[in-house]
Amino acid sequence: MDQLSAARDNVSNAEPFQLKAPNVVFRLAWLLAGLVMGYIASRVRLPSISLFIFIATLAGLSANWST
Amino acid sequence: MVGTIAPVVYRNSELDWRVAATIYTIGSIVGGSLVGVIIGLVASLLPRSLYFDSIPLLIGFAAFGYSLHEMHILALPHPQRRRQVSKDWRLRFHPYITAGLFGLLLGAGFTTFIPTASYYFIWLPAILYGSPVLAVILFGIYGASRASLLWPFCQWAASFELMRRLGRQIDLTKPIMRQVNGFALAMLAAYLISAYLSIT
Repeated sequence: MDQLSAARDNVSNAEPFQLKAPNVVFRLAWLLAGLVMGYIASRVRLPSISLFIFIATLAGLSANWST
Repeated sequence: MVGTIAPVVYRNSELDWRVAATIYTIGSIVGGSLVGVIIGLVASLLPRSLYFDSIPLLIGFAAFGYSLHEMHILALPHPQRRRQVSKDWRLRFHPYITAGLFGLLLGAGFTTFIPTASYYFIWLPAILYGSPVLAVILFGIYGASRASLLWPFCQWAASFELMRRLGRQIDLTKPIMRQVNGFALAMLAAYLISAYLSIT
């Protein structure tokens, strides 16, 4: 019973779960994927305005993640 | 904003959160568009014949740098006003006026925290190309998309407990949002540099 209450205390006192940024290998791979996508977009002659609109939309959505 | 407009705030009131959300959304679009008009008009007065052809390259390299910044690989300047909108307005003004004022300020973007660097890439093309129309389109879209998430958030956060949980989830997913922005900026960089090189 003591063990049970100790475990319960540990859980209630635990720090809230925090997501961390992925490791550097994943980030570099993710960066490369972005570069490749951008290169493909230029090859298929996507209008540049569509990319700027995408960035403006993403910036607006991301602004909700401010403190 | 959910803490000001969510249904739970308007409970037992004759006011409707949907009206406040609509006013906030309109305010946000107007705020963004106004900034776009001012920047576009001022930038259109600047001489740009010297560097006009190199604009895609300039924005492309900046986007690459800031994609590294968003991915925490490289630290670059991240200028922002570390302010929140005034909480006093909630007490001083009618809730609908408060919603409209919050929309105007937040839609402008630069008056508060700037959580991701992609916001700078609305300013850069607006300034460098000096086109008021382009600036209004980009800043208006920014204002609209900034307000758009309020609707599902408010719909979902029907109690104070759910609002608190939503705030925690937003905090938790912040690193993911930075990575998504890094990806988008890398994409913009590769697109612009590749397009520039294929033309020259």
